[in-house]
Amino acid sequence: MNYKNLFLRQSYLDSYDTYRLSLKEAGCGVLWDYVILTASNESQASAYRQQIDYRLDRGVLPRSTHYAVLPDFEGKRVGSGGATLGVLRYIRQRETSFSGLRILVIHSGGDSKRVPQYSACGKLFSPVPRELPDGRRSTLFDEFIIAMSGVPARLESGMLVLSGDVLLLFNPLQIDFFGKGAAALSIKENVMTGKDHGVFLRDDSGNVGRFLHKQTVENLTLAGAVDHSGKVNIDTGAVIMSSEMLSDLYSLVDTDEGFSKYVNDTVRLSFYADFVYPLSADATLEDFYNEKPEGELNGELLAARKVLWGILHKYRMKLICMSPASFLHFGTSVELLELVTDHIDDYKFLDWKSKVCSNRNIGNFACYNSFIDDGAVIGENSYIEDSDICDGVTVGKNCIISGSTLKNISVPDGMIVHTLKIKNGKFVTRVLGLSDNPKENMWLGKKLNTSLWEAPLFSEYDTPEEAAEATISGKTGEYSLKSSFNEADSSQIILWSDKLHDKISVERFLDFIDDLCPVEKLTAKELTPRVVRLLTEYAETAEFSEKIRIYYYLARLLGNDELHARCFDTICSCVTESAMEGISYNPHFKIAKDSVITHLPVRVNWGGGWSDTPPYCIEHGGMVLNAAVTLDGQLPIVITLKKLQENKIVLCSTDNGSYAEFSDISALQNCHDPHDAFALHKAALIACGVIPYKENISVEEICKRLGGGFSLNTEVLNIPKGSGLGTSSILAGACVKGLFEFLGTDISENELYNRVLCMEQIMSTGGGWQDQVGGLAAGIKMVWAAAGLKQQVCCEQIAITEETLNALEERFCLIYTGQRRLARNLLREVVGKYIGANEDALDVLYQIQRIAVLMRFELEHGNIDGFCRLLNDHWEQSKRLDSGCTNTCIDQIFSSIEDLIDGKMICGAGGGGFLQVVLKPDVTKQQLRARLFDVFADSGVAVYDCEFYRG
Amino acid sequence: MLKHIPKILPPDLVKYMMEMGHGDTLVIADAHFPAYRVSKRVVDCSGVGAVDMLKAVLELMPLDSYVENAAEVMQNVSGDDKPKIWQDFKMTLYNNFYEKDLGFIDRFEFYEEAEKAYVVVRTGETAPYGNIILHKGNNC
Repeated sequence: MNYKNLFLRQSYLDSYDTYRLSLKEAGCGVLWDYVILTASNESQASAYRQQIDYRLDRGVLPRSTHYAVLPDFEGKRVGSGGATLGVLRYIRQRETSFSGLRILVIHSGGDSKRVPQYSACGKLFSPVPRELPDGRRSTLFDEFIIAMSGVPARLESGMLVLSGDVLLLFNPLQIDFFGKGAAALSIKENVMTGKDHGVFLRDDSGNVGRFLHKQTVENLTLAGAVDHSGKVNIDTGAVIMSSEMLSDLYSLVDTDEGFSKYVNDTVRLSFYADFVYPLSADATLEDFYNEKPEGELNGELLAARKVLWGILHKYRMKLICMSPASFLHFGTSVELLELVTDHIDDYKFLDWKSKVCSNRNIGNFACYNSFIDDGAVIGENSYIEDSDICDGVTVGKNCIISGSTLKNISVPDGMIVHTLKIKNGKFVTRVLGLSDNPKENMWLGKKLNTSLWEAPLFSEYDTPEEAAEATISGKTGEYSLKSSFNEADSSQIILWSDKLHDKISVERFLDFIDDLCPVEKLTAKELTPRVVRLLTEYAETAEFSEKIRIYYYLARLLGNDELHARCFDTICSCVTESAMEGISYNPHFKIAKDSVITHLPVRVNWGGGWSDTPPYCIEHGGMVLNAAVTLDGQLPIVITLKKLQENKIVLCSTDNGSYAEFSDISALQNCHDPHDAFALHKAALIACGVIPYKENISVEEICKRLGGGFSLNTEVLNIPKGSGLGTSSILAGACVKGLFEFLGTDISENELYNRVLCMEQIMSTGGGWQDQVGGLAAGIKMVWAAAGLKQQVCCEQIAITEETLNALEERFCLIYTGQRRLARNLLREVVGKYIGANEDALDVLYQIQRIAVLMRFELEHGNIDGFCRLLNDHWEQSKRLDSGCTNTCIDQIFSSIEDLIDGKMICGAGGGGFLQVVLKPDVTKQQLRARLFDVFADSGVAVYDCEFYRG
Repeated sequence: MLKHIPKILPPDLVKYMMEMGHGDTLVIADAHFPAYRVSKRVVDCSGVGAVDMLKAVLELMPLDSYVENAAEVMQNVSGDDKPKIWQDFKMTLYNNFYEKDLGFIDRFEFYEEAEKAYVVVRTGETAPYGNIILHKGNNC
């Protein structure tokens, strides 16, 4: 980026900051007192007012500024000078003087014939190819407001008059005007550029000496307008007038007679020719009389000029040179097309880009607030704005499509297509060639009897797509460019643009989700309340993966707890629904044994943990490696079922001393509260079909059918809670296993796993399947399930030799950290990272499954050291997924025994509970105990004896 | 408390909204509105602002697309500044896809309309002209 562009970019950013501050309620800094737009007629004025109200409603214009739109007086073409006098009268009707007022006037009254797609909204509200930092798509008006927000502070009072089709890029700090006359804002440009524009000749006092309009390089040089570096002071059309001068000008129109005399379509005063010209020091009255008028040179105008000379020539116009600075004229359709396609890179420094607010970001064309279906073909260097382009549409090269809906149509090269909604509710599409000049008599290569602007060529249709299709196919009608513009329903322009923007924002959001764009990289700026509403409505019928992500992404971006809950409720209900499939109350079950006691081991997780958790396993399948172990020679998970003579169901838990007898079925069915001491017991009864999930059948009846009542007791031997050894899931597994044995019913391994999964979902614990399989199946197992809502869990013992198993057992230890795992919403955190496409989470969930498979390989090849390296790798990966899996205490335990161990990992989710280590070959468990006692004494850190459970 | 039902809506108001038919009207009134004089069915929500109440009501209630103005405010006294709360009403309606301008009813006519309304929700709104009549639609 060169210095000039760097300066202009920074100037723009500074202006944006000033603009942002000006939006604050209290109104920070010095603001415009008035912002006044002039319009050519009431219809255009109404369109401008709607645009301003739209922005005021959304808080993107300073509220303490007074905004007004003034159409030409009585619908007559009164010229830019007449319009300026109209502005003065408007202000003086509200104020006692101009003193102290800062006024911005933007002359924006043209019909925009050379860019007829902007006639209805006004060129001032035509798109600028930039997405504003607040997410809005920019227009010339927005650029004006931002760029000019720094100017009021540089004026004591006065009026800045701008031309509505010239965008100035400058730094307001270079403006300093506290004088009595006027000031012209000029920029330095090469003389080669200057010859096509107005150039100021500066006099010795630093004022404008002369105006030189479109002079040759030679003339400019001879006149002394070219400096030593070959540059001239170009007229930007921006002029500041002091309040004194405004008062003097106002004296012309302070009566109705005066106003009628100077503001009419005969005199048709020009702001530049009639107000600015007399301000140059070297101007003469004679030259002034000959200055090219806006309308005709007639007696009334000459009389007016005489008076104006008397009022204005006593003032001088200070020449304010802004450099670096630049300006951009928004002129014809061809210039517009070139700007947004070929020349867009020249304005990259202002963050201008060829594609603004669109769902299609690739292709050699430009677009602005347009929805373009994937199946639509857009030709090179075409420009699509505020349009909806459906599949099957072909747009040729160098076309401009504006405000249109295109369906099943081909647009030939070089065509401008623009659709307007008119006041009777119908639509008119206007087409013309890119090089057609509406002021001339040619249209798409045909000669017309009148100017293209006034030729009746287009018809009205009920829908925009019909209008476009018929008109592009060559059907003609009674509307001209002019009459359709006059009939335009300007209120529909913003509504249509917003509807499109909603559609694009929804599509872009869904694309981000599909493309796994991490939620951290997105912002909420496009998420207007309407877009959020559309997305949540769409989510209701979306398929599982898309649905949960819509809720999650919205929840994260908006900080909305309800949507967050909706995401996890959806996961839970989908998994539960699927797990419950085929599970129902079985009235034919009979108790087959008087009592059953089931003992199960606990599990240590080695590889792939978290990949078994919905929704990851549903979308990708999961794979884990784990081992069943006994602690201190015991199988720690115990459940006991006993037949009772009375028709009642008794649930108890030895661990917490809970005991309850149930005779009311609804109390047994209420099992969704994970804090209920009997949630697990109740879920087991439902998942095994011993009691109904919802059906109202009395406990007595159930017991009669079973042949008696029963008690179910659960117990976990010598394992502290929050151990990370999968105890609660294995307890669930033990319940299911025990219940089927109690009922004398065989059950397949897979069915067993499914019932436990179902239990966990009923209890809303929402975990994966690795824990229960880890305890239900003996030995060291590879456990996996393919992707799918209904998880079919497969389990296979690995082919490890007894020798390797014994060697590993010799070196394998469990260390209790002395801390129960911290209660935190871990599941939602980790699962949330996955749903939100966190890059680390996605990578870790993939890598840990690879590690699981490699661990199996190493163990089957008897390579315990290789296994240890993988265990350490896994530990590093686990920390990437959840930094809370470790803490100072865990780090210190590992660090204090670093020299004694080859491998280390946490059990379960970590953050407390048990740790697992593999000792170095020559280190004994006693040495480990001694080291830990040395450091941690009897604080609870302890080494447990454990053995692999071989079944 | 129910899922997806805005927390500020009291049970009786939800009931009344369910009972309302196509074309029935609901008034969200400010703290100064003579709600109890003009209506026999008033739901008092003094702790809630009118805009928040409008947001909550629109979560559940569709507006009538067959009338010219399904949302009408009380015309301000000529010469008074445009009440700021109208901007918030308008944006809330717009965000719920009601894209028309607000309708305007003179003060005493507004009271008459409120008498005919199915229910008047009296809020704690203190901003001037914080009253709005909503016409229920049939596009649930």
